[in-house]
Amino acid sequence: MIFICAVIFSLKIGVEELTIKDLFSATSGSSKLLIISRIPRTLTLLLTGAGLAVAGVIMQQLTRNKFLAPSTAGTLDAAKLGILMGLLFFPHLGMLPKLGIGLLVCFALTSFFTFSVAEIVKKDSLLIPVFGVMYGYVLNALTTMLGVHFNIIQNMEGWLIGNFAKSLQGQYELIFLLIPIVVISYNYAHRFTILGMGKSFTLNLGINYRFFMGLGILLTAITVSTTVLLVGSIPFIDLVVPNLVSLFHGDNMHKNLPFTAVYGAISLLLCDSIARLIIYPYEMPASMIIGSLGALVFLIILLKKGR
Amino acid sequence: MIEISSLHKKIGYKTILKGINLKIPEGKLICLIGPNGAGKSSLLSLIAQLEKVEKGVIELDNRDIRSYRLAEFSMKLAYLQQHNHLDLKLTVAELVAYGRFPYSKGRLTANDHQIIEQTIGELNLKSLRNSFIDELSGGERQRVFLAMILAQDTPYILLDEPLNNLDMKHAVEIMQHCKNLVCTQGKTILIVVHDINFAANYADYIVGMKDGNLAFMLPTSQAIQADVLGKLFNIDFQIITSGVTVMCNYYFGKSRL
Repeated sequence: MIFICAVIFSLKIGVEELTIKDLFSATSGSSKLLIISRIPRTLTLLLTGAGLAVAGVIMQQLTRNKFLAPSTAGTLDAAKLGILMGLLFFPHLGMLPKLGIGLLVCFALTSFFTFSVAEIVKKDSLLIPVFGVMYGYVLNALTTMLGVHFNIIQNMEGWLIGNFAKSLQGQYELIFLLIPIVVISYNYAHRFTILGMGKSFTLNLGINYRFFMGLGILLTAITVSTTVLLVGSIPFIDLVVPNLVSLFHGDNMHKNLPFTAVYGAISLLLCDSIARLIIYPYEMPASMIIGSLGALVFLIILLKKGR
Repeated sequence: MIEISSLHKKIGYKTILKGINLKIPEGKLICLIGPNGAGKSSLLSLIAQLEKVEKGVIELDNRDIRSYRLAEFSMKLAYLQQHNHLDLKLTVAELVAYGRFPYSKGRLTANDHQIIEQTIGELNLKSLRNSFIDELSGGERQRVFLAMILAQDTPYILLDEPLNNLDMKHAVEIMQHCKNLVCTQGKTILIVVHDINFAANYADYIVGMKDGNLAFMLPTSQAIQADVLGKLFNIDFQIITSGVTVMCNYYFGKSRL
């Protein structure tokens, strides 16, 4: 119910007036507006939110750490670095090859983190995200260095900050890649839950530990690189939503994955709506709203858990 | 039958197992005892394939364990390790249901449900079935893990110190339950225990290990002797028999060098 309201609301707001009646009885002007801008934007928001939240919960299970998510394990920064490399070295190629390079870098660097760094500091669950964030900063520094070297720092800032204003017809279609990713994640939800119990239980139940670790990282890497390429970096959704869902619905992924996806989608839609209304008729990057609200919610979750 | 021949294991430069040769008979309750650092847990994790066999061979029902497919092996042998940290918000019933994963792959059949309910009942977890495991006490959680392993319903079960954290009543219940499984269903259960008296009263055979070597494998009555145990643990023992109960008293024993 909230979901449907949020979708309609997101379709409706914008500089050009659109009434609810217009949404259903399309005149030529309003239907064009819908198809070119509003629908792509809303779909991108929905899929990005759902995809990132699902990626977050998978990451949590793989690393058995509630504070690790693509944004705190360097995955997000690895994707940025990879896509920047794609843009720099193959500027004439289309979206897909750039995504491919981003994905490759992102997968390699995240695997490195999960299998080495996270293994070494496994003893302390709070230390790993600290390492993850540090790792992210190192990657970020590399990205900035590349940007400075090729003199595109200004340009970079523009597309790396999560913003949905550029989700227009003809540019957003790659986001549909996230649908099969979410479906595959759901299909293997039981296995990912078992992975969260650790290596001993996983092997005891006859599941190939390394294969599903790899698969999980791959799914996460695809989701993150796709969203970075299309909308830029979105913080916190991947960290906050899974924690929120776990608080209310437990950690059985098979049961809670639909909630995770829907909550992720709704939170991103709402944040984006706020970003578009707060200085209407102009708009802010959605990631700023997510950053501030996300931090607040995360603090509340931490306090609630600590008690 | 589990047949182990010249099994070695090194961790770093330290040799943990120094050529173990052991035949574990079918349909028996076998207790594994020995001082700290004897290699008991390493032996179990090698049999369970949690760690790779590098030197030596382990055969399960006359087949090298490495030749089993993972899924097939998980229907043959279940293993509960000593320390289990689960930071997951799952209910007791959900976790026990995961014991059926090798068979159901997540889609539970009526038969699976029946086994799950039966195991929950047998381990007296009915009143806890909808509690989250992160809200349970250490002993309760240990029983839930045991239930999960037993729900796996494998012919071979390896338990590494399953009585950890359990109070006397529950420890006795678990041992009786294991004994019962061996007698009625012909399962083979290998348990590492620290409380020698549980081994003395419940085991069919006792395996003694020390410093990475096999010290002995004997029927319980022959293993529970003052000189045998004294040599294994380097402390004086006194064996007291009262009716069917055997007590190993080492509380005032002089330690030897």
